[in-house]
Amino acid sequence: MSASPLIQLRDLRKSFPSNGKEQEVLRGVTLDVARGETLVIIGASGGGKSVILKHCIGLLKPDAGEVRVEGKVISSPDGVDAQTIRRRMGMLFQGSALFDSMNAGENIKFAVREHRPELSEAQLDALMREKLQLVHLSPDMSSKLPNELSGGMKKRLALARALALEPEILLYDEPTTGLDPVTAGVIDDLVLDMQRQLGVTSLVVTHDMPSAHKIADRIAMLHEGKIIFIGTPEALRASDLPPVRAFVRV
Amino acid sequence: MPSPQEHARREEAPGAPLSRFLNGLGALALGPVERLGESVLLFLAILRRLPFLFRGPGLLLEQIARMGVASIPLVLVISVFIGAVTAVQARYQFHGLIPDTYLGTAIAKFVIIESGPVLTALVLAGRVGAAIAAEIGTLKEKEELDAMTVMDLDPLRYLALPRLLAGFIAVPLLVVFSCLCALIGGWLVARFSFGLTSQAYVQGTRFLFSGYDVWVGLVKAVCFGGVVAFTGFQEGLRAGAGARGVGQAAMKAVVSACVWILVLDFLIIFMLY
Repeated sequence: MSASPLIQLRDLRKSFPSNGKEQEVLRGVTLDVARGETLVIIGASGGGKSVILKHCIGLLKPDAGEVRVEGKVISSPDGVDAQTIRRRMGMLFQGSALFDSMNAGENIKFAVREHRPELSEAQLDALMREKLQLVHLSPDMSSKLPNELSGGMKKRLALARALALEPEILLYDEPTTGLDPVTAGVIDDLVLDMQRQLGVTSLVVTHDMPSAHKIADRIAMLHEGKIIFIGTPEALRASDLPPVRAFVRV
Repeated sequence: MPSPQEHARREEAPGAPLSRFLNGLGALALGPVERLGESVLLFLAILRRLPFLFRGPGLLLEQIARMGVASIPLVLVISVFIGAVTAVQARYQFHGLIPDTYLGTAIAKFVIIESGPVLTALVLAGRVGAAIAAEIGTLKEKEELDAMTVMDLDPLRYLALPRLLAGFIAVPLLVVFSCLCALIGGWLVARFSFGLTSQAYVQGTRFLFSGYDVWVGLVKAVCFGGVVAFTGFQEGLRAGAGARGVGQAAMKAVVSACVWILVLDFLIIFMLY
């Protein structure tokens, strides 16, 4: 891992309107993600974990604070356009967010066709098959529509789609939520494979503790809008902080 | 013991209720202006994507088919009945004052200038506008819009532009079709209920026929087509969470489109006649 963090969040604050009032979800989140590592953010549901991810990829702008990717500010109008950074990032959404009107193959090829017009259809097909195999899906299922796939297959297809643009950073939003333990284990293995085989930097949000322990180099805990713990899985187990103890014990 | 809220109310400055009232009034007045401003900015943002159309007209053709071709049966049915009702009403109003040979004149004038564009657009607001709002709202709910943005696929280019242009193109074509169907509906009633000859009906439609009326009808149709598609897309983008949010978006799209169609109808008639 290099010394300078790939992603830096500094005193990130974000509020959303709720019942006519502003509810502060992030209350000064500061976090560094090193190049090549897998950092897992844990915390209660609705605590703002996904909000952190959406800030990292420029889908949300903070009320205050700063997001830097490779040292470039993407969170303010004065900074670089988030669009330039996004091409180097991929995201696996909680509900997969596959394009329902397209079959599995088209889901993978769509963005590549737009961004790499020099590729022929044959090359696109080859790339699609390669990405499907990378996530252990048969190329034969490329003609299936997303609604014909199981939850685990959808997650894997969404990962294949994210990989199609060959990102350096992958963001995973609850990758194992709603999956049975065996399928969740397959997804965990894929997250590890992406790091080992492709060297991608991964930022994962989850409340699935077995998954977090399996894939994380470091774990950060978000509690009441702030990062209250960051360290290795072993350090997390040994932590005396009451919110951490309560979360890990559950 | 008074509650904290009660205590705060007792402690507030004498002018506070008036200030609150004025703030509320200001928000009420500025809300629609803000929404109109948002709409104008979104509309211009979509139009800025026009050059991309030439790189992929397939999406536009698909939308024209979905919006236009798929609406033909509905437009056919309502238009024939509009023509028929216009014939019955015209004869009832003119009976004893104007000969039946002028039935075609009344039907043609009313259908081309008014009922063709307006009623077709109102029906399409329900069929097409609501469908666009529900579709975009669902894409938003399922994070597909976010997924597009993450993959640097501009939703305005891929989703908004084809729908807006399809509205501008498909609705005028449907209005022309609607006018023809309404004239046939009027002829059916005039011929078989009132015993008017076909020749007299056709002569009536040609009497006082003006190309300017057709042009006004088409101007309306283009504007209404844009309104139907744009309000559908905008309300879809604004959709709240869940099935309720998507349902509300579809309802708001229809209501907004209907109101704008009638307002624009008045403004266009007022300016062009």
